[in-house]
Amino acid sequence: MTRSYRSIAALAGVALLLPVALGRAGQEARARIVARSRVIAGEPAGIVIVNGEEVIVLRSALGGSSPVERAQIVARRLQELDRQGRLTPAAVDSGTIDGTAVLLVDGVPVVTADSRVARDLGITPLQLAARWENNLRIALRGGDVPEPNGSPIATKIVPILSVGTGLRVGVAQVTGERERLDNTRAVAQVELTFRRVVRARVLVPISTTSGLRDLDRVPGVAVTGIGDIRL
Amino acid sequence: MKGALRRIVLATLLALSLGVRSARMAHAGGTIRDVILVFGIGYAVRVFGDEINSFLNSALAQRGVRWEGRTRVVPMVSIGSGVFVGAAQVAGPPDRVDDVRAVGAGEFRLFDRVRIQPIFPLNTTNPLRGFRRVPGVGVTAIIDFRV
Repeated sequence: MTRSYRSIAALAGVALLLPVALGRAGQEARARIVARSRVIAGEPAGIVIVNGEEVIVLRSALGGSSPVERAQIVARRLQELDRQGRLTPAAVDSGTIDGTAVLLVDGVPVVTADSRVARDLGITPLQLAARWENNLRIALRGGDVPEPNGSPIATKIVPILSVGTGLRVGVAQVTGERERLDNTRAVAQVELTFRRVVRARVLVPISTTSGLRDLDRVPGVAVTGIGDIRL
Repeated sequence: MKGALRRIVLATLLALSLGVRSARMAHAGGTIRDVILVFGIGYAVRVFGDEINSFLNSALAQRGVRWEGRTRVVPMVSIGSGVFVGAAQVAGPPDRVDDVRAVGAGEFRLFDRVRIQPIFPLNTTNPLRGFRRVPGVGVTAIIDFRV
């Protein structure tokens, strides 16, 4: 009976703390985003410029759109995300969807990495997407932020909730680039044990922009310590 | 060849520590089995690390998006509540993730209910020759086996 009370009290504590931890992320100032055309090696190319910084260069046509039209589409997508307050340096990512490298903002695919540009630069499309990610983050910060070794590294303590082999609550230390950490609100852990010999655990740092309704995984952030209690 | 030698040394040391740890491990057959287990897991992680990483990234994909280039699978040893060896997926800034070679972890329990687990991404697979914790990198997935 006492144990039940303790469990209820611990859960109530977590329920009270989580909404505070999951507070709405701050919105940043609007960015100036435009698309331009330029001739590169005798062919028209589309350029996306953010806050005066050249962020994306497109040289391939795709889906019936010329490189310049693609740049205009990308600029409109970025403007829309900016209007929604989702275009922040911390929200910019690169990854793959069905094996295709893409630039993402707040989990939304913005543009497919241009394989021709990647080939010209001697890098893979995924590396090109990562380069665009870096360009866009610097442009959103104002373009004059020196980032020789990437964003500063930091750690943060957040609540952790574990399910699988019993219910556990506690705190986790997470680490990563400061901008990504700012978005990290909690860690969800799934734990499985087979005959006390084999264990599998997945630790997912999560973020949100509007409370519990839209929990998202935060890429590039991971766990370096856990302290928890079984309920 | 040098890497293989390192692993043999690490496996031997781990096996020796296990031999002291409990009566079960003092059994010769158990120790040999553990050496094989430790060596086999280390080898498997080295050979299949990329595939395991790719699988984890697919399993953890969100809305079809896989975040690649920021994760890697490396061998892991956890000591405290028994000794566990296995594989850990580490994540962090790409340049720092590339530095990580192994993960060491502790696991301490109080009253069987409270658990404390520090996790250390390391820049070497052989801590006896010196090691450094890689800041900015942590773990996002672990699979390990009791030895």
